Amino acid sequence: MRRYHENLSDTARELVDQLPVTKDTQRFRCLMTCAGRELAKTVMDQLASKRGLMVVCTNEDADFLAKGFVEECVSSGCEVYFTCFWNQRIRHSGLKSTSIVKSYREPCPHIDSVVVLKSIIATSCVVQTNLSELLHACNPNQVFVASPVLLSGAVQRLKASFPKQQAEKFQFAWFAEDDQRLENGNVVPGIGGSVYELLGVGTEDTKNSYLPEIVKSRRHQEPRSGNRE
Amino acid sequence: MGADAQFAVEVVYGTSQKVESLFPGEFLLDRTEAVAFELSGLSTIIDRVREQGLGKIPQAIPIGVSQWPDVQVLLNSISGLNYWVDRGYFEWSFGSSDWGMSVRVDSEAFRRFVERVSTAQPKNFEELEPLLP
Repeated sequence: MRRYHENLSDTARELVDQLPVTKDTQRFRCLMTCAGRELAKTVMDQLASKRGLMVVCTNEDADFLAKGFVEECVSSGCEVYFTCFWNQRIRHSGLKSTSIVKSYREPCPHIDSVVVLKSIIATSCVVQTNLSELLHACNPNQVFVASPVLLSGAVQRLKASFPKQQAEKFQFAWFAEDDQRLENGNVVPGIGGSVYELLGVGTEDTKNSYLPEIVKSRRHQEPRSGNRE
Repeated sequence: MGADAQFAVEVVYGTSQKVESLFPGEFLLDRTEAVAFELSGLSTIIDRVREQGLGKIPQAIPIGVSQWPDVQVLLNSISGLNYWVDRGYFEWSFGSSDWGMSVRVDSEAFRRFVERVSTAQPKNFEELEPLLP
C-alpha cells in the first residue's frame, strides 16, 4: 500500500505516480531529474542557510535525481558543493556490504548542511554508508535525507543506525512511502523495478563503470569558491 | 545456537593501524595473542570475509603482473594523479576531489587493469579514468 506525504504538491504526486509505470529510459531519467527539482524545493523550504550545502549522491543518481536537485538549488542562490560515491554492493549468505570504492568530493571550507539523495530508499544501507562517511569528516548543522520513495520503516532504520546526537539532526524529504517489498529487493510499486536498469546505467554489478557527466563537468571547474554553476 | 535461543551475537570487524593506545571500552585482540585470537574465531571470520569478498581487509601482497613496472612509469606521467598500493589494494587520487580504492593487486581485475593501461597508453586522467578497475 502506498502512502503519500501529507504536504505533497500536485507535481510531485504526478511524478511519483509516473515513475513505477515508466519503462522508457529517457523518460525515466527525465522524471528523476524533475523529482530532484521537486525535492530541492522541499528541502530549501527548510534550509536555515544557503551557504555551504553539500549534496551527496551515488553515481547512478548523479546525472538525474542529483542533477535536478543541484540545478534547482543553484537557481535559487544556494552555494552548492557536490559529492558522488560509487558503492559496491556485495551479498553473501544473508550478509551484505555497500562499501565505497570511488568518490568525487568537492572540497568545502565549511559544510553548513548536507543533503543525501537516493532514487529510492529501502534498506537504507547505501544511505547509511555514505552518510557515515560524510559525517565522519564534518559536523553540519542540518542533515537531510531526500528520496522520491521510501520503504516503510526506512526512516526509523536509518536513525537507529546513527548515534542519537547525529540522528536528531536528520530531516526527511519524500513523496511516497510504500510498504511492500519483493524477494528480489524491489519495492512495490516503488519506482517500478531496479533503478540501474531503469536509468540505463547497467546492472547492480556493472553500474560502477558509469561516469556521471555532472562529475566530469564539475571537476573541470576547479579551483572553486562560492557558487560554481 | 539452539532454535529456541533468545539472543544473538553481532560480530563487528574492522582494521586499524592505531592500536597503540586503547580508549575506555576498547580492547585489542591481535595475532600476537595466538591462542586467544584463534579461540575468538576472528581468524575464521577474517578468512571468510576475504574469500567471499564481503569486505576489504588489507594484507601485504606482492604484485606479480609483469607489465606493472612499465605501467607505473606511465601512471607517474599523468598530471594530478597519485596512486599507491596499500597493503594489497591499489588506490588512487586525482586532484583534491577524486579518490578510488578498487581491487586487490593479486586479482584478475587488477591484472586486466594493468593490461588495459599498457595497451591504451593514456596521457591524462580523462583517458585513464574509464580504464580504472
